[in-house]
Order: sequence, then C-alpha cells, then structure tokens
Amino acid sequence: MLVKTALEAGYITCQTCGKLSAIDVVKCPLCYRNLAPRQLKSLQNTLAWLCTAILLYLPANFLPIMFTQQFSQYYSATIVGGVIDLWQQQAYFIAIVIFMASIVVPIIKIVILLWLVVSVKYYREHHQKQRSIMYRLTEIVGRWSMIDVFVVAILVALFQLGGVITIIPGPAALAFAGVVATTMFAAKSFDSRLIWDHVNTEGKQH
Amino acid sequence: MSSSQAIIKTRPKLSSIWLIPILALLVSVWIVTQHYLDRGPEIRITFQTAEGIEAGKTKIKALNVEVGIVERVELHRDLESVIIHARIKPDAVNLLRKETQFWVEKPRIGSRGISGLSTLLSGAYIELGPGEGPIGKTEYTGYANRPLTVGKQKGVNVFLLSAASSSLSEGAPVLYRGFRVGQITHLEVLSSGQLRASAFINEPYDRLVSSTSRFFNASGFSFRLTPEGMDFESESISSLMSGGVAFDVPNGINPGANVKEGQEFVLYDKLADIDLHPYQFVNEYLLLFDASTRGLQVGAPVEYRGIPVGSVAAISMDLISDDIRNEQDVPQVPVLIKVDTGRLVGDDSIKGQKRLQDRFVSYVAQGMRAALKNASLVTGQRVITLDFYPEVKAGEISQLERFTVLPTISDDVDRVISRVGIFVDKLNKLPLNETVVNANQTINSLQLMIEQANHLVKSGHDLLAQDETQAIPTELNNTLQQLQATLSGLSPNAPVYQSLINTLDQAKVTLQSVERVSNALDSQPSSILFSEPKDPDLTPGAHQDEK
Repeated sequence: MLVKTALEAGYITCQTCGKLSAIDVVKCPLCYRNLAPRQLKSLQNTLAWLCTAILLYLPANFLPIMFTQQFSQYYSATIVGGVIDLWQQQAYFIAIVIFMASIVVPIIKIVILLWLVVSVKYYREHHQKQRSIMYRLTEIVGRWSMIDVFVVAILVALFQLGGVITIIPGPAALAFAGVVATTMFAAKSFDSRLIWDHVNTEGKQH
Repeated sequence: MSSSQAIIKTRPKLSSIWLIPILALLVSVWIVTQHYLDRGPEIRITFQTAEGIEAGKTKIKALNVEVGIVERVELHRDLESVIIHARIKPDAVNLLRKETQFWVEKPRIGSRGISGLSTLLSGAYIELGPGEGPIGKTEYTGYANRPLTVGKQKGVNVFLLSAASSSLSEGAPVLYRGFRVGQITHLEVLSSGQLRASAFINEPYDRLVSSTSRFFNASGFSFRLTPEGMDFESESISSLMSGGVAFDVPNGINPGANVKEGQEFVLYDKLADIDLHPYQFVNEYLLLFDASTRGLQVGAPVEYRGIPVGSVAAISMDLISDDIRNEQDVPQVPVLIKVDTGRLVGDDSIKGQKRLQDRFVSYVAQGMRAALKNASLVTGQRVITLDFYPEVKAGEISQLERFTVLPTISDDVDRVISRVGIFVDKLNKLPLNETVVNANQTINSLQLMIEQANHLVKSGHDLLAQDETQAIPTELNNTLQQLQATLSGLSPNAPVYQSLINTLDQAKVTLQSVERVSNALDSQPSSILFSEPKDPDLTPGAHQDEK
C-alpha cells in the first residue's frame, strides 16, 4: 500500500491544530502558528534535552529527595530508599506506583526518545511501525512522570509541624523536576512527522 | 510550487539547546568538586561498642553544636571494638587536638537530674570534648561515658576503697557538709575483691580534701529514738535517692596536707565511724595460741606496751583450713588482729601498710612477740599485747595461707595470777573471828581479876577499919602476903600477861590489812570489778602536729 506524507503531497501540517496548508503558507491560517515542513534541528534539540535529562537523573536518584525531621531525629530518603521503605512497610501499591513513576517511566521515556532519535537519523527505512507505537507510548507514560515531585510537594506542604514532624524537600526533588521537564522538552522538540518520512521505503535498502 | 522565493539563512550546524546539557554538566561538576573541596578531614574513633551509633545519622557535637557526622561504622579486626569513621566539618578542624576526647552521649538519670534527654528521641550522639595539644590528630579512642575530666575542668581525682558499694553509682555526688563539690566518676572491682570508686572533686573545693579527710557513705539516712525525741539525719535528698559520698575531718583533727591526684581513701559506712576509728589502713596478722583464749573478745584491744595499736578482728578455728589443723598435734587457736598503720608508722596509707610490714619483720627478729594478757582479774577480760622479749630467740614472720603470722609467746602471767589467787584464799581463811573472840575473853577475864583485886583491897580496907585488924599485924602480914601472891600472877613474866600481848599484836596486824583493802575500795569502788582505766584512744594528726 502506497502512503503519501503531507509533505510529499505538497502540504504542511500544523502541529498545533492539525490543519493542512499549502507548502508555501508561512503561518497557519487557523491558529497562526509558524509552519515548517520539518522542524529544523529537531533531532539535535531532542538529543540535547535528553542529555540534560540523563545528567539530572543521576543526582535525582543519588541525592536525598526529602528530609524528615521527627522529634529532632533527622532522616533523609532517596527515591529508591523510599520505595524500599514503603515496600517493607507492606504498602505495596504505593511502592509500585512510586517506583513506576519515579524510576521506570523516566527511564522508558529517555530510552524511547533516544531510540527514536537514533532510529530516525540512521535507520529511517526500518522499524517504522515500532516507531509509531513507541512514540505513542511516550505520550502515555510521560504524563505520569511528575507524580514524584507532586508527592514531595504535598508532603512538604502537609507536614510542617515544627518540632514534631517537618518534611523538607531535598536537592533530588529539584533534579527530578528537572528530569521531568527536560524529558518533556525533549518529547516536545521531537518532530513526530520525521517518524513517517520514509513510510514507503519500509524494508527496502536505499 | 509557490512563486515566492524562500529566504535562505545560514544557520549554525549545532543547536543552541546544547548549551543546556553543557551548563548542567558544568554545574554538577562544580557541585561535586565543591563537595570534595569543602568536606573536612576524616577521623577514626575506636569505641568498645557502637550502641546507638548509626552511619550517616549519628552526629558529632561539641557543646551541642554539630561539628561532624559518622560516615561509616566497622568492626575492628580483633572483633573487640568498633572503628567509627567520622567526617568533621572544615571549620571544626582546630578542635581535633591531641587531648580531644570523644564519648557517647546518652540519656542518663543521675542525682543532678536527667541529662541527655534530647538523645532519647534523636538517638545517641558523639560528644567532642575540646582538649589541648597540637592540631591534626586523626585517630582517637572514644569513651563509653563522659570522661573524668573534660577539657579544662580542673580538680583532683581520688580513689575510695570499700568492701561493698552499698549504693554508689557513677555520677553520684560527693558532698562536703551537704554541699556538692564533685562526683563519682567511675566504679571498678579490684582483683582483691575491693570496690574502688573514683571521685572527682572540682577545683575550688579540692583544697577541702586533705590527707586527714575521711570519706563516708552519705546515702541513706539515720533515724534514732532518743529520750529527747526523734533524730533524723540525712546528707541530702539527692544522695538519699542516688547514693553519694561525703567527706569531713574527724573531730579534733587538723586538716592535713593537700591531697595528691590519685590518693586512696577508705570509704566508711557512716559518719559516726570516722570518729570511732579514724585510722583507715590496717595490716592483718594471724596469731596462733597454744593457751586458752577464754576472755578474749572480737574488738578487744591490741596494745604495744600499754598503748592501743589495733584490735582483735576475729577469733575462729575457721581462719585456718582443716588441712593445716590436721597437721597440728594439738590444734592452736587462731586469732586475727588488725594493726593500725597510722598509729605505729604515722603514715595512714597503702605505703604505710608496706612500711609497717617491713618494720614488723625486723621487730620480730629482735624479739617482738604477741602475748595474751589479762586486763581485769575479776572479769577475766583479756587483751593482746605486743612486746619485746630479749630472752627469746630471733623469730620471723611467716605466711600461713592468706595470712601473715606473727609469733606468739606464752606469758608467765598465768602463774602470777594463780599465786595471787592462793594469797586471796589464804586471806579469806585467816581465823579473824576466833582471834577477836579470844581477845575479848582474855580482856574479860582480866577485868574479872581486877575486880577481884579491888574486892580484895576493899575487904582489906574494911579489915583495917576494924579495931581488931589493927590490933592483929600478923593477920595483916598474912593478908599482904596473900595479896602479893595474887598480884604476882599479873606481872609481865606471868603466862597470862604474855598470851594477852600476843593476841593483841595479832589483832593489830589483821586490822591493818583490812584497813588497806577498805581504803582501796573507798577510793575506787570499781576496782573490785575492773582493771585500771585505760588512756584515751590515740587519734591521728597528733603525730602531724609533732612534725
């Protein structure tokens, strides 16, 4: 089955509203977004954001995400430590949710985006179907990745009881928020249209 | 295609977004370097136990200011101690001096109240006690408890020896007339079975402790019912609860020289004891007697030429083991005596004990022996005397099981006493009553004779008054001759007269001896029961006055 992309048909898709315009139209007549057939340096930008995310991911996991001060006793917890604690306290559901949201999801997102970048750049004729599935997966899991930052934010706001119990956000919370933000930017700067550019050359050698 | 021309700009090949990961990298590198540059030195502290210490959580504090944190806890290779690796903050590096001390601060309830309460919730922490010396030490040995002297705290440390601790505890107060001047810092059991407590007296008060001071247990209270009413005594409420010691100088003793660090004192049971028995250190000697020790009691004095130098501690066959008793044909009676070193050597200390021992060795070689002597004839109370007997051979101090044995001598006192007894018996048997009756009878008969003579004289006078008598001279002559014959019976040569004189002499001698006894009874009625009163007990300090 022969499939034409919009570009091949002489049109530009608006990435905001999805309207097809003629290739020489500069601004989308519907939503006034600047139109470009393919975003310039999309892959490079994505890669840069992903590198930042990877750099931030290390402190996000190794530094404490929050400090608990309870009766002048001082605990610090990393994300992994917190998950283990929750698991040991038999809060399995919360442990799984935090584990998925804080560790699995960012890694999946980063790995998929990296794979997409490499795949689009060097293996454009291969894995076109998988690329579509993977891209949609990042869309699905991406929205859960902020849950950890929210957990910390809520706990910090709730437990400010002076000497009895106080929760203070740790440096990892900031780094983790950075990871989430940069993966969002990475996903955003990835021009999804690049995925299907060689849809008709599937499996063929070029 | 569109007619309009695309505007072509040359763009750099690299996206500007790459600045962000580079910035992130630089920031993280900077943070990591800063972390390693900023962290202070690592020190290792060896502790007996890591109780309450957690890696990454336990803090090191100086005066409650955090100066470091425990990073790692590991077992020492000998498995008998733990090594704590701690990271000290860079601004606290100058606290790490040669004499800096570390100890674990835990909640503790003492007489001063509750300390370290905050550690109940926060867990133990390691306290850093600043010390003197050059900076830069990294290996320390930690204490389980707060050390005796921390930093610049000044004072004097003395040891208190006692047989039983009663109720002493570490941290218990040391009181001087009810005022807290120090505390018990450490308790340990010596190999001899004695308990040794270390007491630290804080600086302004260390001058109160002198060589003549006596320490006594101040815990508890005394309660007496006297004719005046109830008498309740207690040092302080806190010592009542937690135990404690107090010290004072015995009555009538001048404070001696200032005490030296580490001097040893004996801990008395109660305040009254320090006046009762002011000497602290005694040497024990075992005496083996062949004779009866009847009349010798525990507590009886040991005298040297009449001066009390100690007391009898125990009289029991159990003092020596059965094996030794089996070896003896006739079992000897063991008597344990205590000799006060302060009285004989003038040095009431452990050193004095040694000196007394040395001196006794030479004394015994010169003929000193212990003997049993009667203190009172009537009650039969006995004392132990130490004296020199030049006639005996040179003896020596021997060792019997755990005791040092002083040689004894059987005194000839017993024989003297038996002689005195015989004399008293004889005195009792003297026929005093008969003699007096005889004398009375003799006097009566003499009186009768004189009456008869008077009667004769009277009848002669009557006769003379008669005319017939005057007229008859021959009759008168006869009568005179009769009278002369009668009177000649009363002359000094006559046997009646002689026996009268003898009887009177005997009565006189007897009455004189009776008078002596009665005089003695008049002046000291107690002498019939007790021996002569002793001199008052010697007290220490007297010899120091002489110095």
